[in-house]
Amino acid sequence: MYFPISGVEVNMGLLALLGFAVGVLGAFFGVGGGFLAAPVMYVLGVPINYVVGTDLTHMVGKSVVAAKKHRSLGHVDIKLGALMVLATIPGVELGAQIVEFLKTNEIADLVIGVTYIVILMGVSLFVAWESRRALRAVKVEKLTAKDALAFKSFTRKIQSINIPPMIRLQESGIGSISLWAILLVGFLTGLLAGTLGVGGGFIRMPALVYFIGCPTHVAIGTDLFEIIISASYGTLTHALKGNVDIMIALVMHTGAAIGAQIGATLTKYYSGPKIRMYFSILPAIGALLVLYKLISTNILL
Amino acid sequence: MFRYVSDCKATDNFVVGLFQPKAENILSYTMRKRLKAVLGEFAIYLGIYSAIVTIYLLFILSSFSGTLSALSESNLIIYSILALALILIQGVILENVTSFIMDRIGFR
Repeated sequence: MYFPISGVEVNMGLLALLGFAVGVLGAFFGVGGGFLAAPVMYVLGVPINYVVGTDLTHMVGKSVVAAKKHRSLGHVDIKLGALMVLATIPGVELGAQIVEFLKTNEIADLVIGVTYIVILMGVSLFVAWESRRALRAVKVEKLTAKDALAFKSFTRKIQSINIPPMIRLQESGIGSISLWAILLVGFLTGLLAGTLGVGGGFIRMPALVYFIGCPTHVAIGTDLFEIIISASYGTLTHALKGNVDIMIALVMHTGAAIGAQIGATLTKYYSGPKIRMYFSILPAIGALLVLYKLISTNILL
Repeated sequence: MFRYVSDCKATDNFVVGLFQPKAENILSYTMRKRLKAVLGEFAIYLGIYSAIVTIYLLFILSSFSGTLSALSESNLIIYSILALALILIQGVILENVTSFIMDRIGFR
């Protein structure tokens, strides 16, 4: 099929299939899936300036399907998601300013690339270690597998910060937490996402679990709800710069919609630590892709 | 007394052990049968879904592509708002369609 906006001819079936794969992964792990969609879209022939904007646009539609499904399963904390978004957007904007500053000093690719690899590998290793410990604790201490967490001390410390206003997050099962703690976590995850140029799911989902204390399933659903808002904002800004091919996004979304349904439903059959264990592979893949890019473009070596 | 209790437990374990494998087999057989039925229905509905989506893409969306392309060159603000509106509307519609399919095949 010919897409006149970006001026490329791409196989419609392959785009829908890519959407399907990203839909399953995104709805199961609570991520946007840009780490997979963006390189494959580029390989399929979509011009690089259209890749990021179009991917963000397709994420909006996919997250609507996935978040609605998670909502029906009781996995979305709308209050928490809305509060996080309030702080995430300024964080993303500040991150974009940092990138601009680095670009003027011509060290952006190296600094961002290395930071990306270090942070994502760190997230991957930590989540893998923690989820294995949690799974072992489930076996040894006969804990309920659903919400077992092997890293509770830090979460408890954050929840015990007593700076008013204190709020209650019923859907997440959190009795009392400072609003400022939520805003700070939202801002920092937004700052990282904006600086590293990623959607933020890689960082936000673990942050919701380990910092805020959300059960994994609620973290996934809430993250997807947040992606609807942040990706909508991203769609508008990229479309205004002429970087969105809505036709490609709509075609990808036809596959993503069914994939998101399957991915969201599958979370019902896995415990929190199991999902986190599988999730730990994703940031590592993202980090390896960036490492490959840095080496192949002679930026790192 | 202790001996009696331990004997009873041993008998219980033996009885459970005797029946458990069979119960598991029956369960896995039923589950496999159900899974096969679900996958079969899923394939049918996926085929119907693909046909509907293909018609939608080829006939409805393709007819808009020229208009959208012209709009992306002439008025980026309206194009941006329309792009976001289109993906949100398609998101809601396809959520309903796919939910219907999932409910029909019992994949809940």
